[in-house]
Amino acid sequence: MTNQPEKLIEVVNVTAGYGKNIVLRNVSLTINTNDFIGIIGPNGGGKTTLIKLIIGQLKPFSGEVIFHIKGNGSLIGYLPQASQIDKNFPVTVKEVVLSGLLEKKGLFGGYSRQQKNIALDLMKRVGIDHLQNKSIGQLSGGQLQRALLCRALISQPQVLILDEPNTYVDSKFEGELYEMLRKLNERMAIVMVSHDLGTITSYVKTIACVNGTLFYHQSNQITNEQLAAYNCPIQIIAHGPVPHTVLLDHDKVNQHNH
Amino acid sequence: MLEVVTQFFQYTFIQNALLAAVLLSVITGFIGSYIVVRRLVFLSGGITHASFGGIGIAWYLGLNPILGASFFSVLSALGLEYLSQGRTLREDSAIGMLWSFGMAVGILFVFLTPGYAPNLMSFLFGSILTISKTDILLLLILAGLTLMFFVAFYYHILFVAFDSDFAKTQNVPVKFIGYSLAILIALSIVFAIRAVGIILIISLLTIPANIANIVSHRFKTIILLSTLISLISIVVGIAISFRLNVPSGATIITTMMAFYLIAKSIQIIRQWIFMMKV
Repeated sequence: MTNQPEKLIEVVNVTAGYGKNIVLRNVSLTINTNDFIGIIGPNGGGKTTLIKLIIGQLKPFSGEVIFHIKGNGSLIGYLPQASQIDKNFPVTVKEVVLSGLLEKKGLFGGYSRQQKNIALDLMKRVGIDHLQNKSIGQLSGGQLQRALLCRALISQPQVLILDEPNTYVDSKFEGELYEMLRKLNERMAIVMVSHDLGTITSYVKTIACVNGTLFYHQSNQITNEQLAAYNCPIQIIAHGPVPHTVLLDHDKVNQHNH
Repeated sequence: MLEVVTQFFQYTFIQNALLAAVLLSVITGFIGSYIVVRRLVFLSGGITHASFGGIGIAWYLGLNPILGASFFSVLSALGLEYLSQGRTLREDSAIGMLWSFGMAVGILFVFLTPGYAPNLMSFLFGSILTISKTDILLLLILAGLTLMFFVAFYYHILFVAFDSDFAKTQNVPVKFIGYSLAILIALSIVFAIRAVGIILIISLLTIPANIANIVSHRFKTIILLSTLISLISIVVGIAISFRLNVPSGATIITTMMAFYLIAKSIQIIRQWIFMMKV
């Protein structure tokens, strides 16, 4: 593995929103190999909009999102919020996990034995292999989230994007999840949206705060003062010794006064 | 008894109707299951009624009504699919407006057409017993297309319906799948108009898939089961209609609903038994 970071996804000077409503102004963010970016910010600040831009679901009003596709693995593995999933949909856990390989499966026919084995391995790793033939309606929120995580990982993406992965997860699995992400980060970049500042700061390498515009720290240490300056929600950030590193005047990635 | 049955099968119109029943059940099984799991029932109702506008205009111009209806319903299906991808309008409102607008256009043009419109009732209530060879040919082509599309794109259809955002990140051609299915839904509706009529189609598309969903939670099984259920219901419906001399569209839908109620009751009773054991 090269240590020199390479660009995977670039968001360049993007202004985006819905209809006539602008949610994000002049936002730039580069996702490099090895990155582990935590995205925080208040509700309505544009976290979800930023994610939609990164996964290519939303087209920006101006600016551009550049995808650098390398190798034959897929670029993006996406874990949506479990609440976005229709739980009455007639599909089994195994089918959901395998659907992460849809791009590699040609037309006609099913998945190969090898692909099925990969799926089973992943399900074992997150402890849902015994549920593989259940329909998703029979799962708890946390179990569904694990199945969706397997779906995101099975294509061995270069960037893993997680939207609030800790919403339904019990505290025991939450710890396991973050440890797993730390290991995965050796192989792929990770972008994680979270409300929970306390946990996020101890795992991520850098933090992006989204509130209409974007402030990007090249560090995972933030202080209350800085959070207040960004209008970011202040929750429990005191875990262990409270980080008191005083950062230099943060270089705002973007000036929103123009 | 046997005599009645053999006599029943001797009529050409009965043979045609049974042939149409097989083709219709393939269409309802596949397209209906998709409509139900993707929650497009209301949208399909809108398309169905909008197609009446096409029937009216074609009638006025002296063209084939099914051609006019196809044009109208494909256009409205594509329009609604476009709107649902963009999110610029409330989808249910868009459907509601289209729904009665299509009917209004239809009524207007039928009224403006000189002379009496004797077949109008057949478009509203349908009659599988008077289905023509041309209608059967159209159904055959559509059933073939539907079958091929589902065999080729089964997983793509399933997972675009399940989570289109994720499918997009996997470079699945979400738009192609969405628009193709919109066209198939529109054509299924129009070609089924002759058999069960505008007013009753929506049940034909939803009841079998919902019965199948009581029994199974796998999309594949739901498709196959609802095809079978639909075939049985249509044949039973035709027989009742023939025997009692009542409109076939109504007997088909009533039969389906009876099956649904039976399946639902069994499900509820089994749930009771299960709860008593616990």
